[in-house]
Amino acid sequence: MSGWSLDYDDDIAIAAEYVLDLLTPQERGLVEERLAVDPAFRELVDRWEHDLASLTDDIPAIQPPRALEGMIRQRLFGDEAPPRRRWSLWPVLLGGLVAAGLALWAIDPAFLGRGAPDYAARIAAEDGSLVVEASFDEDSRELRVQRVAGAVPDGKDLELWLVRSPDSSTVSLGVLPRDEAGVIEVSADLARQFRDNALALSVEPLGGSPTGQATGPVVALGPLTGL
Amino acid sequence: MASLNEIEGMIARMAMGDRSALASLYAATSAKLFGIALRVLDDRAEAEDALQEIFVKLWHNAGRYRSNGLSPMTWLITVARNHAIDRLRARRSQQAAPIDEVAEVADGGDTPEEAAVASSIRARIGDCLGTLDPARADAIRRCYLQGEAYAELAARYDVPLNTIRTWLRRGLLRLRECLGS
Repeated sequence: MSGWSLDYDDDIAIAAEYVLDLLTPQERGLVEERLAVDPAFRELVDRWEHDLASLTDDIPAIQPPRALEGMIRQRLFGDEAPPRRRWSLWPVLLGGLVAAGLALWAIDPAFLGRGAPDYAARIAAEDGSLVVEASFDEDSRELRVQRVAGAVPDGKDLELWLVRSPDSSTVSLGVLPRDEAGVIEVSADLARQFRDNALALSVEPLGGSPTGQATGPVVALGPLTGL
Repeated sequence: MASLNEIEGMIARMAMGDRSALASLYAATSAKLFGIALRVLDDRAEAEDALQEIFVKLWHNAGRYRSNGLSPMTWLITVARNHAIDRLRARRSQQAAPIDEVAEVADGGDTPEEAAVASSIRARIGDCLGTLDPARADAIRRCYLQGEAYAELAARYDVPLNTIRTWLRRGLLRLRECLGS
């Protein structure tokens, strides 16, 4: 038995220091050797882990971005990544918009006036039954959205997607707030991908797509305009 | 919310390579673990990376989980906390702020009194930490949630480096006495 661990109080303290990662690498090595052969000491460590873990009890649970689970599965089992949905609708629609000279939309300046957004988009259904205006500030990574026409369907959510050219791959930006106006915080890596891309809305189960890819119909789409 | 027994079952199935068990565990626990990573790292992009790595670790280490009659959440939280703290420490060593600067930044956080008041609404560990000298209680929280080491604690609480270990251990023993064994 190691000379420094004869005293019970000392064991209690060392077990706590092990859990808090306060030991030197040498001490840590000795503790790990001992854990393998000394069930009573193992129990002290378990008890500390359990009690100290309750320091996280008051930390609120926060939904991670929808796409993260897919990224984890991709890392673990790259072969079974869910098939990427092709957005056949969007090049057609965008092409139409560009041809009609409508790529630049008149966007309410009062809505944009809050900061100095870098991008704006008018995400609209083809028949105008749903229109969401969005503006994005790259520095604060705040995507402000305002639903100016239409409604979120009962018992469903609208999920907002960043559609990236040239392959039309999609990544979730989160569920559209049910209120008419709201702010979505965009992750740092996605915040750099707004240029020359588009935003889209799909109808999803409450809480958003369970797969990390759109599962319901794409109901509205709009190109991002650099400001 | 899945029951603790269900979570234990998911871990056991993950150990056998059941991919659907990973999906179930993710659905049941990812928000809690993301909250913890975000609290420790205070940076959303880094917490997102950390959460991915945490679930990769949970998948690979599921076979090492031993049921010990305590909550399986403890194991998940411990893996998440340790991983987030490792990232935080790596970030700190890159930034390598001088000690006096560290102490100054930290002054902006909860005072020990504020921390002690906040703790009173928590479960038993909060009550027990409340019976400690506030500085020691605060130090234990900082070790767990912010990965502070003895050198940082010595600077923060103005305790000589050669006695800081004795100083904190007194608090840890008192805490164990209160929590029971």
